[in-house]
Amino acid sequence: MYKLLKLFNDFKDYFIFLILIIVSLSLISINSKQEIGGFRAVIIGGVGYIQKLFSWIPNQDALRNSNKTLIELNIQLSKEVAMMRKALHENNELRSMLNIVSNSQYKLIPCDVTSKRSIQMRNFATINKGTADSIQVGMSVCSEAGLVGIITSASEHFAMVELLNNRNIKIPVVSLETRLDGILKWEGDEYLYMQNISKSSKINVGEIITTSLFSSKYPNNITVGKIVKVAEEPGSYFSKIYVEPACRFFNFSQLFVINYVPNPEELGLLKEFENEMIMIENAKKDRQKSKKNNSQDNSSDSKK
Amino acid sequence: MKSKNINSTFKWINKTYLLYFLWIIVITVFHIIFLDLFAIMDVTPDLFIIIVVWITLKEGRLAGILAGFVIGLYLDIISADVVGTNAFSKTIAAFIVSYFYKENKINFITKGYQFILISFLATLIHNIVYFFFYIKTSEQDFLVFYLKYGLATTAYTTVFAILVVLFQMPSNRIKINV
Repeated sequence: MYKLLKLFNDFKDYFIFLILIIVSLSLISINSKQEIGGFRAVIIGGVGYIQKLFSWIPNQDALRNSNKTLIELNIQLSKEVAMMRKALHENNELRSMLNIVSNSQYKLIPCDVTSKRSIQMRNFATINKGTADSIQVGMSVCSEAGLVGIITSASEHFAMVELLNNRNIKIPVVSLETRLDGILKWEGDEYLYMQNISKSSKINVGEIITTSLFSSKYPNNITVGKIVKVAEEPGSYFSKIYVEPACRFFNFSQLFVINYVPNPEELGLLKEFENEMIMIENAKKDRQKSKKNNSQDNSSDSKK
Repeated sequence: MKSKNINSTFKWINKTYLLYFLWIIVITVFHIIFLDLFAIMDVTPDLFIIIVVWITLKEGRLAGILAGFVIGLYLDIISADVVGTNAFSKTIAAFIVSYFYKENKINFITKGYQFILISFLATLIHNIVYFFFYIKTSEQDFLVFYLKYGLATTAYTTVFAILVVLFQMPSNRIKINV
């Protein structure tokens, strides 16, 4: 016993060291015990309280890192917001397009706009549907808001749409309320103009303008725009009607092609009649010209 | 006469350990409040190992390993670390440092470059043991992690050990009468 005590006394440092190592390892192994967790929670609460008291001391490094993280997060969120806004706009567009498809009297072929261009005051859009999708030249094109243009050429998978804001566009239209017929033209600015409305006719601002039965190219009853102003032109029998287009020029990404082509027999008859009228007109002009020439010759003879 | 000697010795022991206790409180406050301000790329100095080295070189092996254990355990509790890891690593560090303890050269060692070198060695050994437990449950490579964080912490802690030596230099010495 004495030897044991002497041994312990001589090597007490090593024995105590060993005991402490064993205790440390035991503590590591029982670290997940609930009692330790509870005690630690109290300590952490106290430490947290002290840290909170001194949280006003600025930490440059932490602030810098926090700023960097926030800037990166801000950029990412901005991108997401932009994507969501685009998706929302597309969603609203598609919803209104669904409405027009269900309410339309014509069969509609949906398509996407692949490009838009302007060539010498003539504005075109290219769509991603062509003859393979039953698209034909002469078909009208509209959006969920109203008439947009007409197909002027088509390949197998693409077609070109001549838009309303073109100088050679002439659309027979009618006002919905007052049922006045006119011709719609574009003169280079943001409006379309309804012509051939006499000053004596009563037409109201706010009236909706649609395609009329007089049109041989466009199907009737397609919304074109809304009257925003009625002005009197001096020295003319007609009023100047300002029409705001239903579909803003170039402000679309999805369109519908109206599966309607004018009857070729009807078109042929119209063309024949037009040609006849032109011939009659020309003959009249020729007769008038020859009469004039004859009278001039007679007067020169008499002078002689 | 004898009782007077015992009383004076007891008084001296109390003063020294009281001073160590106060230093531990000061380091704890610094650790809790200001340590983040001194962080360089997430690397912070370990001031507790410096006081463990100090106590070991001043008081000897037994005091050193007990101080290592108690301070390590204390640090485990306040830093929400795995209880026992700091106690284990600081005890081992104190045991290694105790081999440099020389009763007749205490001041010479603690006031000179030897203290800096011993602190560096102690921190190195402490970090090897500590980080071994630290990344035991993760899939990180120990060597890579230690080279990145262990050595950096060792170097940073040694800087503070240099400050301790500089603080004791005759021109900068502040006399405190206790």
